Amino acid sequence: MNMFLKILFNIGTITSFGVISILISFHQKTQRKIPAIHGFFYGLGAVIGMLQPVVLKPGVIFDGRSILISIAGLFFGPIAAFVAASMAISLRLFQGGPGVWVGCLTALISAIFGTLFYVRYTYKDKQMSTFQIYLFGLWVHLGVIACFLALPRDVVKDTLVNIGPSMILMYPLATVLLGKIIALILSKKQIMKDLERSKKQLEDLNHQLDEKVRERTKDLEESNASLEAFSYSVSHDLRAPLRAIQGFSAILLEDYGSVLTEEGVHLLSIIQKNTSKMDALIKGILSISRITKSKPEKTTLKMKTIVEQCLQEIVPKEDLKRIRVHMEDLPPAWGDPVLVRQVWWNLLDNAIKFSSKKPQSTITITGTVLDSSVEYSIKDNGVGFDEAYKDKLFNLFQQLHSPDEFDGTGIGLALVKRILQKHGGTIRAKGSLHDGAEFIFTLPEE
Amino acid sequence: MDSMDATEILLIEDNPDDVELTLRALRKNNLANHITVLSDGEEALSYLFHENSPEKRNEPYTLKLILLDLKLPKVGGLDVLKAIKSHPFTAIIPVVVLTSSDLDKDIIQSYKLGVNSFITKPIDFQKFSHSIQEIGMYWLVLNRLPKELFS
Repeated sequence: MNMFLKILFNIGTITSFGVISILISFHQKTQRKIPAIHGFFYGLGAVIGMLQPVVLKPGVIFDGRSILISIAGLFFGPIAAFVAASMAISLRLFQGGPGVWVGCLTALISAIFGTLFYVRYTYKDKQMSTFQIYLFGLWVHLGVIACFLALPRDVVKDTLVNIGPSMILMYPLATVLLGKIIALILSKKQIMKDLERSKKQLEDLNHQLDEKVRERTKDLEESNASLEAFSYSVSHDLRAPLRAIQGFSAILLEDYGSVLTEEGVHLLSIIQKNTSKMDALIKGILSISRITKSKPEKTTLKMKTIVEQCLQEIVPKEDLKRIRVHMEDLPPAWGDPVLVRQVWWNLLDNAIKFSSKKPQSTITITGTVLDSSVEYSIKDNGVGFDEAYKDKLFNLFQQLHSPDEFDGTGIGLALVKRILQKHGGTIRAKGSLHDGAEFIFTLPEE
Repeated sequence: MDSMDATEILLIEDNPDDVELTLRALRKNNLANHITVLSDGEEALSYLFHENSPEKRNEPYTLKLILLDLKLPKVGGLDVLKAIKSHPFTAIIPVVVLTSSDLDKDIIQSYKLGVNSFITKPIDFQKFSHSIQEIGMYWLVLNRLPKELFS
């Protein structure tokens, strides 16, 4: 019993020095890269433990060196194991006595077992369970006890009886304790390393994303610039010849109108009419490209006022009586004043134009507040359109009526749709041939 | 120098058709008597700052108005405008940009460089002629300049 307590205290000493060794050896910045340093500290722990051994007989001593040496091997490989072992062996040789060779052998056996299990687990990056560490401790100390057989005959029996059972009982448990501590620290370090790696990956990804965004932005900027150059040349170069055609035919009419036949004058007026139309088309395309590029600057809009102003501009004085406008109080909207005004202008102009052949034009304008948007409707009693073509209505240059019937460029509704899209709004049309049309558009709330 | 022959309007325009239309509109309004036409930016710069510059001629400018197109060969209209407005001898001369462009970018840039007026040429000749008449009446008749630009 006395011997059991002695061994217990010795284990206490060796484990506490073991813990200190573990903590110190992990303190090095290079971590697992230099196993010899780990080995040195575990060896130091073993050596300190050996200074306070359990003495069975003078020169026959026992201590926990096997625990620290085997553990150094298990976690840090052969170099660490043999560094620790050679430190313990040196001291043991210095201590001398009849147990000297067996003492050296136990250190060597511990290092060999540690290395074997290192190859089996740590080297393959396999985590060991608590039970596996316990079995490891058991194997090491069975090996150590086997070494005891090589002791001088007179002490073999004594050792096996007094030391063996306590050793088999307690040393593997101490091995588990220290092993668990190391495993915990190692897994924590692994987690930190993984974390660091994911952080790095995340940074890399972010960087790649940034790069991609930059590339796309550059592409966009380039295509924007070429679009701008295109619209500039449309605005400048396409108009000059048009002005010449228009101007010189006007001069022709001015200077030689008197010598031209009626047919000649008529033909010249066709030229002029077409140049004006071409001009209107160019202007339309330019305003569409301008809208595509621009960003709406939104404020609260008094829709009723806008509609009234547009009507004042559009309705010809002589038609004031023929055109009847019904308008309720319209809810306010959230949008770009210039662009939303263009929406109303085009829709009202269409309504008046396409109902101009009726003896009485009736235009009804309403507004409704919906869940997250405001909806406006403008309805006329004009020529209407075939529902089959209602999707084509908003296409650029699409006209459902011949130029003989109604003037137009086929740009107005395309422009309206683009403006509303820019605002996050929608537009749809209802109608039937010869029976009026209704355009319903929405604008999102602020 | 006899002011009867001195140039009052400088028209800087590369398109001969536009030159003819402009001249005709000016003539219609009796404003085309003292006009010099230059067809590119380089010519304009050398007219204003070298051959005919006041230092060389040793006499003041008689210019009352410069009509300037923006899209010019060699030196662009905006560069000509910049040169005119940044040189002390010419900065005071009214410059009216007369161009096909109605791009906000051009308008803003022109005003930043100190243009006195910006007119987009209408396609319709009646309107064009009317614009030219108004420009001429305003800058040559109504508008006041110092009696001697540089003395």
